[in-house]
Amino acid sequence: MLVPTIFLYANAIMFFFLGKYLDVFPGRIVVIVGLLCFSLSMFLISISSSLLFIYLIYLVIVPASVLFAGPAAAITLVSQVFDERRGLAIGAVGIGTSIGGIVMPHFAAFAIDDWGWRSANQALAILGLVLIPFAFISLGANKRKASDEKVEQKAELEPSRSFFRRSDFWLCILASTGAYFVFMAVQLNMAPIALEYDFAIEETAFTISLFTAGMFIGKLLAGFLSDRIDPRIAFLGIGLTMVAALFLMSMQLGHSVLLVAFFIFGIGAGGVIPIKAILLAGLFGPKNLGRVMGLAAPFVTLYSLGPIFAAFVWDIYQSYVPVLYVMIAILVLTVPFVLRLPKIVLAQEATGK
Amino acid sequence: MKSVDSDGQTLGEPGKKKAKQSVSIRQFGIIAICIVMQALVIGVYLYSFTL
Repeated sequence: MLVPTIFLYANAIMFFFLGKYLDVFPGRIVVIVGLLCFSLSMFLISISSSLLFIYLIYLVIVPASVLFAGPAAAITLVSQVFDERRGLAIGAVGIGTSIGGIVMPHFAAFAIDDWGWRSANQALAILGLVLIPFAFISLGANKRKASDEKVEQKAELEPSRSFFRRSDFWLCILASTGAYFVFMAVQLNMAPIALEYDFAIEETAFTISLFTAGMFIGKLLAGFLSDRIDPRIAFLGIGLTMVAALFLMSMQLGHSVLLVAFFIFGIGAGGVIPIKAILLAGLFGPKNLGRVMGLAAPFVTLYSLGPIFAAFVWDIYQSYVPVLYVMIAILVLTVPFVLRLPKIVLAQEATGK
Repeated sequence: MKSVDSDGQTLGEPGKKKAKQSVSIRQFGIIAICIVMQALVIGVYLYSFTL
C-alpha cells in the first residue's frame, strides 16, 4: 500500500505545480506531450537495468504522462469544449479509466508472457506513439462557450493563492476527499469483504466485475444528472447511494445481497469521479479547471490513506462490519460541506434555455 | 413565413447545418481520443501497481 501511495503523491505534487498548463496550452499540445511522456517512460523502463532507475521514472516521467494524458487532461479538455452537456461529457470520458483497468492488465499480462517484459514495455511505447496522430487530428483548437464567461471573468483575475482563501475551494475538497476516501477504502478491500462472507476466492472476481459495471453506469448517470439538477444534489445522491450500499453490506444478508450491494456501491463510486470535476468547473469556470484541480490534488490525494485506515480499523475489530460503519460515518460527515457549497448555475440556466 | 426541414433547420442555411454537424463530429472525436488515451495510460499505470 505504501509504494502506490508514494506514487500517487508524486502525481499530486506534479499536478499541483503543472496543473495550470492544462488551462494555458491547447489541448492538442497537452495530450501529445502526455503521450510522448508515456512512450518515453515505457521505453526507458524497457532498457533499464536497475530497480532504482524504474522508481525514478515512476516518480518523474510517469506522473507527467498521467497528468497530460490522463483523467485531468481529459476532463479539462471536454469541460472547455462542452457547454450544455458538460456533465455527461465528463462522465463519458471517465469511462476510459475503467476500460483501461479492464483491458490493459490482460494485454500487459499476455505481452509479458509471450514477449518478455522489455518487449512488452516497448510495445506499449509504440501504442502511445500510434495515438499521437489521432490526437493531433481529433483535438483542434478549443472554443469555449459564452455561458462560462461570467464565472470565469471573476476567477481569471485571481492569482492561484487566492483560491486557497475561498471557502468553496475547501468545502469542495473536504466533500470530495471524504467520498474518495470511502471509495478507495472499499474498492481495495472488496475481495477480503467477500471472503469474510464465505465467498470462494474465484468468486471474488465476480464481485469486482459487478463493481466495475456499476462504475460505468455511475459515471454516466452522475454526468447526466448534473446537467439537469443542481450538482450539489447529484453529489448528495451519490453519497446516499454509497451509504445504502455500505449498509446492505454490513447487514450480512447473504451472497446475493452482497453482490447487489457491490453493484450499487459501484454506481455511487463511479459518480464520485466526475462530480468533483463538475463542481469545480461550475464554481471556478472550465478555463481554471486544470489549475484548481492541481491546487486541490495534494489535499484530495489523502484518499489514498483510505485502504490503510480500513485495515487499521479491521485490525482492531477483526471484522469488516465496523469498518463499513466507519465509512458510513465519514460519508455522513461530508453532507454539511456539500450543503454549504454555493449554488452552481447550470448551462441551461445561464443561456436562458 | 420561413420553411424548415425535418431537423428544424431553416431552409436556405445549409452552411449553418453543416457547421453544427461538424461540431458534433469534433466533440465525438475529442471524447473518443480522451477515452482511448486514458485507457492506455491509466490502465498501464494501475497494472504496474500489481507487479
